[in-house]
Order: sequence, then C-alpha cells, then structure tokens
Amino acid sequence: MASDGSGSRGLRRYLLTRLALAPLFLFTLLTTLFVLLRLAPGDPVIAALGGRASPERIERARQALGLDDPLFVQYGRYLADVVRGDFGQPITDPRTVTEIIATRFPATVELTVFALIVAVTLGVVVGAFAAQRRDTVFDIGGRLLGIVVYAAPVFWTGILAQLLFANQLDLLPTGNRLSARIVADAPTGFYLLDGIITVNGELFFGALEHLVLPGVTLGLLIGGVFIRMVRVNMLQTLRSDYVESARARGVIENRVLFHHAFRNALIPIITIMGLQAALLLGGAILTETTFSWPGLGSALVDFVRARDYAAAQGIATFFALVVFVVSLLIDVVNGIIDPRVRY
Amino acid sequence: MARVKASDSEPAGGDLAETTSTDLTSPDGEAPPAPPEGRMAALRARVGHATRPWYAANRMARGFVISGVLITLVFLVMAIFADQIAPYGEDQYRIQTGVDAEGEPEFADEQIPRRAPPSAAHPFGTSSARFDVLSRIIHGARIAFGVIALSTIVAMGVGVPLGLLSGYHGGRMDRVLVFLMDAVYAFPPLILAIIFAFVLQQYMSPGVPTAAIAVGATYIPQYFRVIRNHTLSVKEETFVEAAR
Repeated sequence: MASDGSGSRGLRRYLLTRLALAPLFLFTLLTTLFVLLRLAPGDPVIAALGGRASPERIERARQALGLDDPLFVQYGRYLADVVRGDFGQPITDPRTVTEIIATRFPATVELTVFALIVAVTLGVVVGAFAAQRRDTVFDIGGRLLGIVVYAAPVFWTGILAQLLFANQLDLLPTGNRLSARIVADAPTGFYLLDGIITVNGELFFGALEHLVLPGVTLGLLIGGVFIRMVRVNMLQTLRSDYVESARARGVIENRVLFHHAFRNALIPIITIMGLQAALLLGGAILTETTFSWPGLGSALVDFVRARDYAAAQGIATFFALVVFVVSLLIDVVNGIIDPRVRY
Repeated sequence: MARVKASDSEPAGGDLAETTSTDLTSPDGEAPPAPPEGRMAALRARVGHATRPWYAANRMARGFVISGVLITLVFLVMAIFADQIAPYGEDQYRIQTGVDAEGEPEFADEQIPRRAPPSAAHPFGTSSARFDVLSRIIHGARIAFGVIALSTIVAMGVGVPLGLLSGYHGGRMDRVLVFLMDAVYAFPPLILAIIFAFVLQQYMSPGVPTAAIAVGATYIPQYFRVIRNHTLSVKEETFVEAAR
C-alpha cells in the first residue's frame, strides 16, 4: 500500500519523540519526589531514630546522609546517585536500598506476573463469552462477576480467602514466599525461576503454593476490569464494517469472532494490561500487606511506619523508574501494533 | 499531544461540559432574558436532556444505578446517624448501665467480652480490644465519608482552578503544568498518597484531614486534565469571544 512508507516513517518519528521526551519526563518525576520529601520540616534522622539515639549516632547518620550540605548539593548528589543505580542508605537498616530492592522486588514481580496471568485468562474467557452471547444470562452473569470481583476490596477478599483456604480447609499456605523449612538456593531471587534453573522441585512447588492465594486474589480484582474491557471492545468490533463484510463474504462465524473481532479487540486491552502492570509493580501494596508477602510495596510501608525518609525516598524513586520504563514500553508496543496511534 | 488527550478525557468530561458552558454565560447576565414560558420550556428540555440516559438505559443498567444509589444511601445514613444507630460507642469497652443527671453515659465495671463470636448482643462479634465490631463498622462509615468528601474538595479545589488557568492562558506555564501533572499522574496513586501522608505528618497530626489531603492530592492531575482540555476547546467558542 502507498501509505506503508509514510506509516513506518510516522512510527519512527513517534518513537523518537517519545524517547526524546523521556529524560525530561524522568527528570520532572525525580525532582517532584525530591522536593516533596525534602519539603518536610524537622530532622529526618531524629524522626527515624527517635529520642533514643545518642547525639553521636545522630550526627554520624546526618553525615552519612549528607544532610548538612546545602539543599542543591543534596539534590545534585541524589540525581547522580540515581543515575549510577544507587538508591541511598536507610537510616533504620544497615543494608543499602539497592540491596533491599534486590531481595524484595523479585517477590513483587512474581506476584504481579501471576496475578496478570489470572486476570487476563479470566477477562478474555468471560469477556469474550459474554460479548458473544450479548444480553443473555451468560452476559449478565459475566458482567455481574466482573463488577463483584472488581468492587470487592483486596484486603476483604484476601482475608476471607486466607480464612477459608488456609485456616479452615488447610489447603494452601499463607504468609511469606516459602515455608521456613525449605532452604532456598536462589541465585536470581525469583523463586519459580530458581526452582526451574536449579531443578529444585521443592523450591518451585513450595513457591507456587505460596503464590496461589495472593496471586489469585489480586488477579480476580484486576480481572474484573479486563472482563468489562474485553466485552465492550468485542461488542464494538463485532459492530464494525470489516466484521460485517467478513460475514457477508460468508466467513464462518467462529473465524469472524476470533480472527476478525477478537484480534482487534485486543489492542486496547494490551494498553490497559501494560498500565495495570506498571501500577501493580509499584502498587500491589494492599495485597502484599494483606498476605504478609515480602515484596517491595510492603517494604515501603514498613519504612514509612519507621519514618525512615531516606529509605522511603529510595524505594519511591525506584518505583518511579519502574513505572516510567513500563509506560515507555507500552507506548512503543502500542505504536507498533496500532497504526492509528501516532503523533 | 494535547489533541490526543482531549479525546482521551471526553467521556469523563461529558457532564462537566454543561456546567462549564452555563457558568461562562450566566454570571455576567448578558444572555438575553427569555420569556417565562420559554424559560419553562428550556428548563423542561434541560431536564429531559439530563434524564435521557435513564430512559434510554435497559433494565439491567437501571438496576445497577438503583442498587448503587441504595448502597450509597445506606452508608450515608450510617455515617450521619452513627451515634443513634450503633449499639455501642466507637471505643466503648465497658457495658453501659444508663445515663446520669447530666446526660453523660454511666458504665458498669463489667467489660464487653474479648473476641466474642457473633451473638444477639454483638451481631458481628467483638474484637481483641473489646470493641463491638458492628458499632465500629457503623462509626467507620462516618470516617470514610469524611475522607471522601474532603479529598474530593481538595482535588477539585486545586485541580479545577489550575486546569482553567492552564487551559485559558496557555503558553509556557501551561506546558510546565501539563508536564508536571503527567509526571504525577504516572505514579502509582497509593504510593503517592503514602508519600504525601509521610510529608504531611511533619505538619499535622494524623487523622481524617491528613488522610483526605494525601488522597485528594493524588487526584489533582485527573481534574486538571479534564478541565484544561475542556477549557482549551471552549475558549475558542463564539460566546467566550463575545463576552470579551
């Protein structure tokens, strides 16, 4: 087609614009974070250590954090550190924030990926089924299911699920990522992956067992959004001209549904999925605290409770980077799969 | 960039559109005064327009609206009349015997049982701190409504004026604000609220206002976007030109 050439040029320009804006965007995000956290009056070291610490210890912590330097020096150092992948040093923990991220973030990623798989499966199956049988009992049931699982807060479903499956039926474990008796040899920190790499069935299935309850609970919650999205998009594409013309050409109904309608209905779903992934990687906090899942979100909550501003800033900065990278990826993927997205 | 976003927010801004356009015409009173029956007709048309989605909707959609309104009403009643409805006080752990001469409650030494299973006296059981769970839920509705109302006021109070300013004047300030708001918008809302609460706790003691400001602040970008994009399109209309 004639428009193909200009299409790929448009895509290249779109991607380049997006990438050129990226550093500016990231800079704004980091500056906002720094300003927000440094706005707070009072001494963060005293806030974190309380009145218990000796004056020498407080002075040492202040110097380690560089709090005696002028604000713009601290700001410059913060940006330089982030560029080098250094997220700072907590006041209340001897490990660096980077070390904490290395142990905690894999747990969050595992939870997110598992939950997304559950959500997409649920959303696509129920959503497509409901759209195909519009205004029948299946459709109403599917929509109701979508609303109910979406409206139920995760701490409510989570606690009930733990009560039933862990306490009453004793089917599944809850809390933490592994039983204490399993001594894990985990090179990457992603236990499922490690279980496969080291051919350790106990590790793999132990981790999977622990992942089921939080993963399914979170997956159901997001699945509610997907059910509605898939259904609405399917209905829209089913009404469109090309589906009409495919039917007119005598293409069999199942092929119309899955080849013509479904594939196009997937485009907005991929966008939503990416956005959800970005939010979850930084926002599964409620699920993590409900299930005592040792992810990065619950680490942030712990540090905020301890009023550890240095650790909170480091983790929040890391989340900002994650969200930034994931949303950039979504834009790029969207630009490639949907030719209508160009600017 | 702006055009893409304008279409983004169109569905959400649908009902805001009407309020904005009426606000812009009525205050200066330059709209020609309509004859009374014309006014009634206009009002009727307006009501008809506002209620059209209701009549156009199918049974199921109406069912959703009704059940949603009912649930909200139940919570609202619970929040307003919490003191009258709840069988026990919010932090009551002793059994009340009566009221003294001044109307202050009197308590027995007997305490509410700890972690009791559901019973007639405590339909939802009691907690480990000897609180009646049902009463805690009813009182909790009040706190929830307080946070919701206050955070919406905060989000609108900041987001709407900024959006109007940004959309109307444009220029460099507009670009900076849009960029800033986009950066904030991209951030996971719960983490943002936690950070705001973290900063706020240095200024004020924790409570409903602190929580409301922290939550409300995370919603500022959404109001900002809708209002800014709508201002951008409305400011080109002839009636704005005429008012100038």
